[in-house]
Amino acid sequence: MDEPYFKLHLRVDDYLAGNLSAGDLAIFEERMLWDQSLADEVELADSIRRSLKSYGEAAAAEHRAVDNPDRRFNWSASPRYAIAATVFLAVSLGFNLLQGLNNRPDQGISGFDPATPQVISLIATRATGATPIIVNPESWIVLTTNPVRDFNVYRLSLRKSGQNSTTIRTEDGLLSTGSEPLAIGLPGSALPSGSYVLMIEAKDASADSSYQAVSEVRFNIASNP
Amino acid sequence: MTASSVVHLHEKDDALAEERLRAREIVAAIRDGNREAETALVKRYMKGMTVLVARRIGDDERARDIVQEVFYIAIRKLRDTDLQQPERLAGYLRGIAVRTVQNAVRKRQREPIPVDVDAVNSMPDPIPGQFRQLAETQAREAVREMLGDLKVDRDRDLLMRYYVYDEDKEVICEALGLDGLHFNRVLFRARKRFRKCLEDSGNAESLGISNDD
Repeated sequence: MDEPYFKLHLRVDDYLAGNLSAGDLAIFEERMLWDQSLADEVELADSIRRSLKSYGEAAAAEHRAVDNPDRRFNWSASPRYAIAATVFLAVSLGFNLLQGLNNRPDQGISGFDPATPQVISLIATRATGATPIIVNPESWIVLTTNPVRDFNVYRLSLRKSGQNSTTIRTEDGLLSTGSEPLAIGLPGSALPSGSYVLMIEAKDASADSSYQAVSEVRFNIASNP
Repeated sequence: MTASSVVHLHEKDDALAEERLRAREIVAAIRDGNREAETALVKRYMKGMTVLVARRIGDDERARDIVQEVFYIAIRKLRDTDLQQPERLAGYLRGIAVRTVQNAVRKRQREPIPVDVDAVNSMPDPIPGQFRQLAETQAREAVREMLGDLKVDRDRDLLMRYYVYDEDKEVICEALGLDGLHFNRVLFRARKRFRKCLEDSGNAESLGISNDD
């Protein structure tokens, strides 16, 4: 591996992630101004990020066009809504097509089975929370819950129970007219056995409103490989 | 999230030495009233300035206006002022860029750029608009090819989590049972492959990525 290029690449990632100290940031940006290869590297990394997001969104839009009477949710209500839970399915569809073209066995992504994501409605478990939900760590998990009346925009934040636990996954800017469930998707491997909390925050659609906590759902996961 | 260790980008290297020499020449020539030196300055720092401003302002269209303003301010000052460290011209430009972006964010009224800075008025548009959109379609194809080439499903999972879902490196490493070095190597290989796919499709240049490594 080209060592100088590798080091440069690490610095670019730190820059794009906002991980540089003020001093390092000044040094990095000053260099980027005159060093075209560094500026190129930043643009390349940014291009990958944009392209992957764009690829996921395009595939999701294609997937929404497929008529599926068994689907319960109106994914086309909001692009972000679709991205929250179905982009992975759409990308999986794309990969299945690609693997078919390449004559490789259909394995999906990371061992996920794109045909059977686990959709878990947290509404039914809210009352007890004690009975664990069995999760296949190799499946894509979609957690759904009901919106609260009188709000338009939602944010779901999933974390493990416990005072200082970090957020595992957040979906922001979810739109709902009140009838569509809210959804948050993630790989089953991100949900090892344990207790979790799904925080539901909401706000109305006006520009100056801010999120307020409206509900939370506590549940237990039993991961079943 | 831990801060990275310092990498001394000012370590002696040939490119840096050349930059310092060139910066001194440009500063001196502009001070002497050389209009071609002003054009040389814009040309030399245009790419990096565009990337820097676009990253900070988060808007490609506004970035172009701000880049113009930065160069205008810099050239006007360099005509009348002696820099204490002319070899650090890039650092001087960066300072102007940071302040200009801050002012733009605060939505202060900006002066219209007068006609006496030709180098800025004749600045080419770094963002091709419609063509960039077309190239992004083809960039998606490059992404599809890059992801399809990955032999390990976990690597694909890593890229999706990091680039599409903006998950932190530490969260991804813990979830996938990776160390930081493995994580970095996957990103490194993916980036090289993506660049290769773009170059093979002839679209690296349209996305502003030069082909000389």
